[in-house]
Amino acid sequence: MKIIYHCYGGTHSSVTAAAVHLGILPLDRLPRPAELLAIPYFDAMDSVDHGRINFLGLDEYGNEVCFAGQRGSPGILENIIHGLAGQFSISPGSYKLVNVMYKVNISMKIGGVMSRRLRWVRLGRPLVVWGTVRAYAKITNLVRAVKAQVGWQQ
Amino acid sequence: MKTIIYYNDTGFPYSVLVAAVRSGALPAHRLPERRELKKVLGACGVGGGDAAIFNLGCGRRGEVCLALWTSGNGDMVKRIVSSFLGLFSIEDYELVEVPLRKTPLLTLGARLVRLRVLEEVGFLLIWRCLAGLYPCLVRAAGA
Repeated sequence: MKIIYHCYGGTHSSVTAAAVHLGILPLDRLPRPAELLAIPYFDAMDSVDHGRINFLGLDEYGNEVCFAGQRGSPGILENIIHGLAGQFSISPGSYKLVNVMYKVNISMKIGGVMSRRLRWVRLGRPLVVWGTVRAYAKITNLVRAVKAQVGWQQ
Repeated sequence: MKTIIYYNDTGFPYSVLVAAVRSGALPAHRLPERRELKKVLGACGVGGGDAAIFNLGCGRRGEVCLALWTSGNGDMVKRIVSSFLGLFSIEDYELVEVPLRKTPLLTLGARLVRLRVLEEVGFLLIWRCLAGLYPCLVRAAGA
């Protein structure tokens, strides 16, 4: 199965969720800022990457864990993917879309805009990292639910 | 069997019309009649575009003609389609952007169509506006 975590920019919450899913980040404690910054693609994607589904790794069940940005339009991403799956005979059970956008807090939003859109990386990045640590419990709970569902299905 | 995916991000379903021309649901050699246009647009809707994918049938060479449209975010749509199909190693498709802009009269027509009492007026307006654009739609279809 291909598990696709998606959020606004595909560079903070979805990347964090995918990293938690793969075990790159811990499930049982809060991550240190350096651990977050060490994740591939964290606070590194731009608007020209929105929509691209990026592969991050394989989980313990052999699922491909991916992430994508959808510019605050999850409906576009979901409609295209479900529509293409229907037209190209891709089984609905062969992929899973997980919206992480609603786990994002105000610090992540402001920090994300400062770092990615305004290019104020030195101001925005610490703020988005701080916000991610604050939202971490919600993100890990979502990942736990996804993993439980995926593990149950397999 | 090759699949052609037409898309546009103007908020008007040009891509549906182009796919319909390609599949033969709309004529390529003459202007469509109002009822022909209404039949195609009525089946897919003339909303702002939520990226739902419509199958308009097969072209002369057996190619499947799909269409989707959005209001903005055309670059993102392109990346979603190509990367998702890439994940499943599907390469037998062509993604075609319809390079037409929405006109104020078309926008008005699309809005009127959504009002039940003015639906006919809306379709009439769209039909009149498309008369001038139809050769461009046929060219975009590559039929």
